[in-house]
Parts: sequence; C-alpha cells; structure tokens
Amino acid sequence: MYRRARQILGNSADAHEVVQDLFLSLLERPDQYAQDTTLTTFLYVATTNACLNRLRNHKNRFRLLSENASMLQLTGDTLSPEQLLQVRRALLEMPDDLARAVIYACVDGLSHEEIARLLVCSRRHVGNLLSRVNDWGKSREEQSC
Amino acid sequence: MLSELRAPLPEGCLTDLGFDEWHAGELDPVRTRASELHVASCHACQARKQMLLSAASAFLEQHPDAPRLPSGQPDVLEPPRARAAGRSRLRALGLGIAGLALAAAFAVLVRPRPVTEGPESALETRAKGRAKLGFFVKRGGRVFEGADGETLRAGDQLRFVATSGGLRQLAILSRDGRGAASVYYPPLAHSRALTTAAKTALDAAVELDATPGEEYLFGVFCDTQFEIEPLRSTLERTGKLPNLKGCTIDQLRVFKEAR
Repeated sequence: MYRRARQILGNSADAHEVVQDLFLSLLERPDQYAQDTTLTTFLYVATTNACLNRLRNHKNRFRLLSENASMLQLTGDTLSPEQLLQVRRALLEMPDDLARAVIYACVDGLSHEEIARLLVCSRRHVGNLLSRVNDWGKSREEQSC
Repeated sequence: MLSELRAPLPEGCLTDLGFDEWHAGELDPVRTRASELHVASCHACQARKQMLLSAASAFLEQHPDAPRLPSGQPDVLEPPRARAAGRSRLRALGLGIAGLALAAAFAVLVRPRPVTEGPESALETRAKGRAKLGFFVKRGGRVFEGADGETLRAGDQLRFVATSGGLRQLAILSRDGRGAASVYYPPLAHSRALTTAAKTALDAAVELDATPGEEYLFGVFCDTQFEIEPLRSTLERTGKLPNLKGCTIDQLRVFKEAR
C-alpha cells in the first residue's frame, strides 16, 4: 500500500498519511473489507481511491504537483518523473472512472484483465475506458492550442 | 497517448499486483506454479521481485517502531479503545500493518522449540545467546507453525521468525539434500539487524524448490554485522559453517518431499 501510495502521490509523507488513514478507517469499520474479494485486491482499490481523493484535495493540489517527482523513481518504475507528473496532472481533472483506469494502467502497469478485476468490469470495458482516456487527452491538447 | 505511456509487459511476466497476490498466497495453485516457473527463468521478473522485497525491507527498517507480527495474538482490526489518545500508536500500527499486510496470512505464535542435533557446526555458542530461529509454513491456503524435523513440500512458503537473544545481526542459510547452500535471509551481501530482541517475523518469505531430501536451516546470530557469502560457500563446500566469534547459531532440520 505504501509503495503504491508513494508512486501515485510522489512523496513519502503523503503516502504515510494515506496508509495511516486507510488503516484507521479499517480499524473503525472492518466491515469495509468485503470477503468476496482478496485482501490484495481490496487494498489496491482502497489505496487507489484514497490517493485520488488526496490528490484532488484542493489544499494538496499545488503542493503535490509542484514537488520534485524524482522520489517516484525510487521503486524502480518505468515512467520518467515528467511522465508521472503528466499522469498526476491528468488525474486531477479527469472523471473518476478514467482516473482509476489511468492509475492501474500507467502507474501500476496492470494488464487489462487485472484492471477489469479491480474495477469489477469486463476487459472490453477497460479497453473502452482507456480509449476514452486518450480521447480526453486529445481534447485537452486541442483546448490548450 | 496517456494510456500508452507504459508498454505492456512481455507475455508471462508478473505485474506488481501479480507479485503481491503471489506473496500473499492468493493465487490458485495453477497460477502459483506458473509464476514460479516463469520467474525462475525470467531475469526481469527476478529483479522486480527482489526490488519489491527490498522495498518492503527498507520500509520496515525505516519504521523500527512499527509492530512486527507480534508474538501475542493481535487482532489488528479490533476497534481502538481510545482513538484520540492512541493516534500515534495507531499510526505506527497502521504503518506496521502496511508493511506486513501482504503477508497477513502468516500468524506468529512461536512456542519454544528444543535445540536439536544436526550436522556439526563449528560456530561458537554462548550463554548469552538464546537466539532462536523458527518458521511458519504456508501450503496452499493453510498456514501452520513449522518445527524441527518438519516434513515440507516443494512449493511450500516459509516465513521465518527470530528471537535475537541480544545478538542483533542475523542471516539465515540453508543446505539442501544435494549439498547446495543458499542464503534465505536477508537478500543482501551482509547480515541484517533485528530491530527488537523479541520474537519477530522477518520481512521475507522463501519458497522451497523441488530438491528432495533433508535440508538444514541455520540462523546465524552475531553481535556485529558479517558477510554472508563466505559462510555460504564454506557451508556448501564442507557441510559446516565456519567458526565465528561472538556468534551463535540455531539450526533446524526439515525433510523436503516432492509435492
């Protein structure tokens, strides 16, 4: 969880906070963990949602985006700091369903099958989501031009 | 395009989710076996796996106050009694759980185990050292405490627990039925410090290969950090560990059978 939170958020302090808050939440309401899913799957989804919420918190936006992204590469990921910054900027603005797909596909590098499992949808729907991600990116580029 | 920033992994390679599920014992036997076979022959996946284990180790080293899988019977999801007063404690608990969550299937209830005879070891033992090595076995969906003389199977996952007895530096080595010596812990060139003298679940698990026969596990506990490779090579060459001053050893014998 911490590893993924740091990848998504770009710094250790925020990752710690997210993990802490998630576990406090679980301590208070353990029924959040539905037994029909694996613990790993549940923690991936919970961490993703918590990180998205934190990224989108207005108090955090500027700070998270302006921080040095080099820490993100401590875990040996394939994206450059610039690419991760690009991803995080997009996460702030795109719809929730697209944002989650972007995290799973771009940050985690998961397969469509795995993403479908986490989002509880079909692989075809994952393909559609990622197409919409690209459409969204194109429309933003056009707007900026 | 955004969704294509990251190239797909080659066929058969594990994603981090795959590694995490594997480590948590959540893969079915077919996928577990396929993962084992693939990683055994894929350098990229071996490197990624090692990197993930190292990241987990580093996390736990950075948070020495985070509870290890305790020697009691903690229910980590038990509601806190006083949240406000316990915020910092819960923070540590949360961090500890985070580091250990993917190994959550392993409970740690270590009972005393008599020291047993094994291959002769020249390591010095000391009264100070009540250092102990133990392990838990994960076989499919079942987890149980292993004991000296345990019969294990290829594919069993072992998670070690150690009690330092005041000797804080630890390495775990093994010598299998064919005489091959391996380092099980830590995945480094030198020993690693235990953060507490109490029974502690170590932050790495090993999966047994298919080599059948008798296997010896050696927990080498020392006062100061030591290099592991000289021990491993001597163990492989001679069947014994070399003499080390200020160290004590706890050893276990297990029998490994084909699955």
